Amino acid sequence: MSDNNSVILKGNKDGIVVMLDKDLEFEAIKSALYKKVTDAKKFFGNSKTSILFKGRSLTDIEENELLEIISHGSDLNIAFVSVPDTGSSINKKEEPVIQVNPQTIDDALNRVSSIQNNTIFHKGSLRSGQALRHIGSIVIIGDVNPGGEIIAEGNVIILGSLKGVVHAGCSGNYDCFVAALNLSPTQLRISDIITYIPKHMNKTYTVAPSLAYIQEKQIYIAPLV
Amino acid sequence: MSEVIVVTSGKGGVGKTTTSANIGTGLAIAGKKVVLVDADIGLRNLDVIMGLENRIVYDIIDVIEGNCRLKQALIKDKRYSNLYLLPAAQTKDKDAVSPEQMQKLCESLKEEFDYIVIDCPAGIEQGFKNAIAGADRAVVVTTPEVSAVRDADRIIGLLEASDLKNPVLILNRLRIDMVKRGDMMTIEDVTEILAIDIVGVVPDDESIVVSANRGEPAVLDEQSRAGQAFRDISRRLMGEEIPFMDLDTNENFFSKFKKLFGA
Repeated sequence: MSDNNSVILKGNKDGIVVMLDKDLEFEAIKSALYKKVTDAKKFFGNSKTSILFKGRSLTDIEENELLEIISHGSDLNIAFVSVPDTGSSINKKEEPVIQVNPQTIDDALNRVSSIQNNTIFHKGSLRSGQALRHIGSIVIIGDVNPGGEIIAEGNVIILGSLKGVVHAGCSGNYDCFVAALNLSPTQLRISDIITYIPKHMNKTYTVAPSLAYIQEKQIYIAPLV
Repeated sequence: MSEVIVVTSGKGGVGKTTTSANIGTGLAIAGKKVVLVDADIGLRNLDVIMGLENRIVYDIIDVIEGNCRLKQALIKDKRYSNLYLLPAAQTKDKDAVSPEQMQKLCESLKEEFDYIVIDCPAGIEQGFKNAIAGADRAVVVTTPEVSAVRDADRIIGLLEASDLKNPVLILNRLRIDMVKRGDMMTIEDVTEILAIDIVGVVPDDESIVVSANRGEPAVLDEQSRAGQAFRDISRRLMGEEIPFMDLDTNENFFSKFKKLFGA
């Protein structure tokens, strides 16, 4: 059994690409990955990186297991997992795409921030059952609890945890964004695109300050630090 | 200085009636003159929990409609002569009372009693609005479950919008073993969302079921850990600073042994 080529690690400008053999059984992939990661431990050091799995479609559980192997076998600080755009059996289009490329994030921010809105500032948290609607942009200095709703024709910025429902660009503006210190909405809507943060993305990736925006009718989530 | 405390939650079944009975009794044990008011009209339970159901002649609706004097409807507790119950009506429903009538009732009760503990019904409609009408402060009860916390958050929002700012929280039916396994929300998970002060944490305890069936509040049972927690809560409501109970009970022989050697 040749495990030399069943897992190949490559670095590129977006992070580390993990090429996986398509046909090998999953347990063999796991041990091959562990060996490759531990061998390369010193080389990778403790840099902050993103991981992209390619070559084989993975279930959420399988992906988590491979990520565990990488984080235990190395000192790497995994910031994000990019969703592969190969046709996989899981329809990833419904889920937001984690964007790591700084240039793309910059372009998105330049596009969205040119909107003129009148903005209201709300001090304090929104509890379950409370809704805040505005024809411009909204800034919340506080949290939005599950069951709370923010509906804005413009952008939404939450200086706190977003755990409720948010709708930016509600009158049909795809250039609006949602930003929060902790982006964990039960549902996130920009214009007529609706998404939520899947559980496997939730714990690791969006607890840091994040920005959600639309590009070609797909919601992207980018880190703000 | 009399105080009207309303015990509310939003969600049903989290322990409002149990809490009302136990903190009321706890305050009476401490020597205060206390009246428990069952505001759950149509679905009364407080009388059963207190073991006083056979003594009901008049109820809160009779008082409000003027069929009897307030004193005639008040039932003295079996065990403490400074503890009274004003039962709810079972054959009416919550639209039989208005917030103004409740407020007037609370004002009359304040002339006689140190503490008036109002057991609020579940929900956010008329029953809730009536129960909070005459209250000075609110105690919100929740269990460490997502649905209960969601409803508690709603209730707190409604309380803060009314005159009852600064409600305090009781976290009921906590199971430390499940929390340790990661199967139950922690105290911090709950307070992170609700963001109000905790006045007590009550462990899940079989003695509550037993005491409810017997009509003897758990605070009267020295062995009951839930009873101990409610006794502490009563004292904290009176302004005393009581350290929180150590809820960690799972001491098998081996861990006791380890502790002996300073592990």
